[in-house]
Amino acid sequence: MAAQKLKVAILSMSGQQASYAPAFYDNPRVEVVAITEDESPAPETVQRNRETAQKFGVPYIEKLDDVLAREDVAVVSLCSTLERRVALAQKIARAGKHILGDKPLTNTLAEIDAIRQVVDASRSKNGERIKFMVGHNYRFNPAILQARQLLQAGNAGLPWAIHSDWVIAAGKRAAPVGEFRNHAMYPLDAMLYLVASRPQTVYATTGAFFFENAKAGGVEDMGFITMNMDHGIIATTSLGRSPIQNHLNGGSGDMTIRIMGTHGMLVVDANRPHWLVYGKSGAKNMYYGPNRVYDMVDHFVDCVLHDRSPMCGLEDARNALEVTLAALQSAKENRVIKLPLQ
Amino acid sequence: MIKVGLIGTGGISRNHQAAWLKLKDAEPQAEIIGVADLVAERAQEAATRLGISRWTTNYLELLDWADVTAVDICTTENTHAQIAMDAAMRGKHILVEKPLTTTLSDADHLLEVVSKYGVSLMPAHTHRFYDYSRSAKNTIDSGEIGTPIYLRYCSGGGFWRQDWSGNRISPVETGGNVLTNGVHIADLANWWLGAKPISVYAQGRNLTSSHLEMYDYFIMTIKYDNNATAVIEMSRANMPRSNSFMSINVLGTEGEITSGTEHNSQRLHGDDGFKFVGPDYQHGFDREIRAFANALEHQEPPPVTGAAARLAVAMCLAAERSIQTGEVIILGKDF
Ligand SMILES: NC(=O)c1ccc[n+]([C@@H]2O[C@H](COP(=O)([O-])OP(=O)(O)OC[C@H]3O[C@@H](n4cnc5c(N)ncnc54)[C@H](O)[C@@H]3O)[C@@H](O)[C@H]2O)c1
Repeated sequence: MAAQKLKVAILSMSGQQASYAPAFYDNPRVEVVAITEDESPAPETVQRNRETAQKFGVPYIEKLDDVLAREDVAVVSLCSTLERRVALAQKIARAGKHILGDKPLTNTLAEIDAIRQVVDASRSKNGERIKFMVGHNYRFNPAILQARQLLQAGNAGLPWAIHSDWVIAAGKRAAPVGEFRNHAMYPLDAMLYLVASRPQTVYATTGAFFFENAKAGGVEDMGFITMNMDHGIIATTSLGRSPIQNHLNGGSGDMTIRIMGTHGMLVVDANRPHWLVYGKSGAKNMYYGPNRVYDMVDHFVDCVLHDRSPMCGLEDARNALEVTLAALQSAKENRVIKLPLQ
Repeated sequence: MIKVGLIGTGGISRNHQAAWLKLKDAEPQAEIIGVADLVAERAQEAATRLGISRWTTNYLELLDWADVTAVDICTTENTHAQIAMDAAMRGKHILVEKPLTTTLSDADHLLEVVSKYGVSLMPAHTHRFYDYSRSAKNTIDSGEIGTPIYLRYCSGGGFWRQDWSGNRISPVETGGNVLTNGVHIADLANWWLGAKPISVYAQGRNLTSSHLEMYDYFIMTIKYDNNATAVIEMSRANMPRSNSFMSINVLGTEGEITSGTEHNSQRLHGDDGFKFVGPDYQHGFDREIRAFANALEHQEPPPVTGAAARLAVAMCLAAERSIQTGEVIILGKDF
């Protein structure tokens, strides 16, 4: 007998869904059964929902409740406006479905805690714990997963510093929530994962340097975060979106991590391996490694099918958000913020 | 002809000597005519190498040689202030190795004396004279990357080639690693960014030994009045010791420049493993000393000012304080 495919519903073609949905759709162990939507979506989102439903050859079911009522649906890929995140996550968990949640998951730590409470108390129709994964796909870059193994096996000795650059390029405007809320979870999650330690203090600087909407909206488009972590580890990251249009890595800009250890140093470049292409359209670096969103979704599918906890759960989302909030506060007040946040 | 007295004939003076020798038959013409070092053999050896006869263990004696018009101070950090003041009071022009001084009160006192006696003072901030730094400065100033708003400077290296007897790891003699090496890049950051630093936050570690009384690894985060940030990371704790990884990145409002070991012209895969081979450092010293000689020759102000060097000292002393307190230090109050 052929194994049952995991039935997944795509909630709203907004946020990162444009990359999550195809990763589910193309996954051989998954069957996408519907595109669905929350109440009162934006007209462009409805348009994208319809188009995607057509492309995938699945129905567009306008009412989430109708999807949640279906016994066969095991997973919901949750992307929605940030304001509706908590209510939706709780509703889906109560319906016994597993969840892949868009990043940033929430605005506040209290909201993550509220989601966690319901997720912990809910069970799937098989009586299993609800698997909640957050889309920290950066951690699934093969170079980062491999780096974790190298470090765990002591190849650099005991890490004492970790430095990251996460400055994406080819920007036209800043994320309306600011680039820290928008992106900090990626390098932060990867760094905390790589050195398996917790931050104690956070200091940061930020600015609106590049984009008019950042200046007008009072949010940052570029900044720097430095932490003191357990075991005396110093951890830093550049963080932002630059307007450089001709970056050789294209929109991926700079994504590197350097770990200094008592017995060596490890440098990771998430945009490699690549071909350097001098083509008719100009020069560029062409990354040729695996697709990290596909690998992330596959890991999640694995966890749902085999009743395991996914790698980037609510705890990881909380840890990254806590540093992000501390960093924003630190930059505003030009002082060091101690964790945990009160 | 500029006649120079060299004070301190240790490690770095070798680079200075080589640079002065190149001016012997050049324009402006300059020559070291006498040397002083506390250690007689070192002074004597330098005199022999330079082909001159005058050497002394007492720099005050050197300052009394009437034909000396300028001094080049290459002594240990905590001696700069006194030696430079003594030179200024005798009307000698001064090239002084970095850091200008090891305390701010010394710096203020020295700058007062220099101005009172009307001599020229140039702090030897070598990083203003390297090819890499000048090409970056020119690119930044040309507007190619817009306004520079973020500098990330990582300079990595292994532990100093010395044991507990060495003065490079003596916090008293050097003023600490954050000061003596941090001033190089603090000054460079100010120069490249062309803005005024307003606060410093720093983290430091003594990784090689918990008994080490200085930070062989530190990272300072500097905020500027135009909201730019400079991050300066300097390591003498890299492992393996041959690991001299460097990277430099300047992000501007309209572009970016990047360099470092990965962009070096040579990578050596030898029996001892992999090694980046960087450019020869001597060219920075040559250009620096020529610039000093040139300023004297044409009675122009030297290209690096005492005020700039004092600011770099203040930033690094603030960084040292920040490492100790864990807090952000606002410049201009105590620093
Ligand atoms: N620009 C650069 O890149 C660079 C590089 C290394 C060192 N330096 C600076 O150069 C200076 C010297 O460093 P070094 O590595 O050559 O140290 P060093 O110990 O090798 O040399 C210092 C010399 O000064 C002599 N000395 C000390 N006090 C003296 C005094 N009162 N009178 C006469 N001689 C005295 C010592 O005997 C010694 O020979 C320091 O300020 C250091 O920070 C600059």
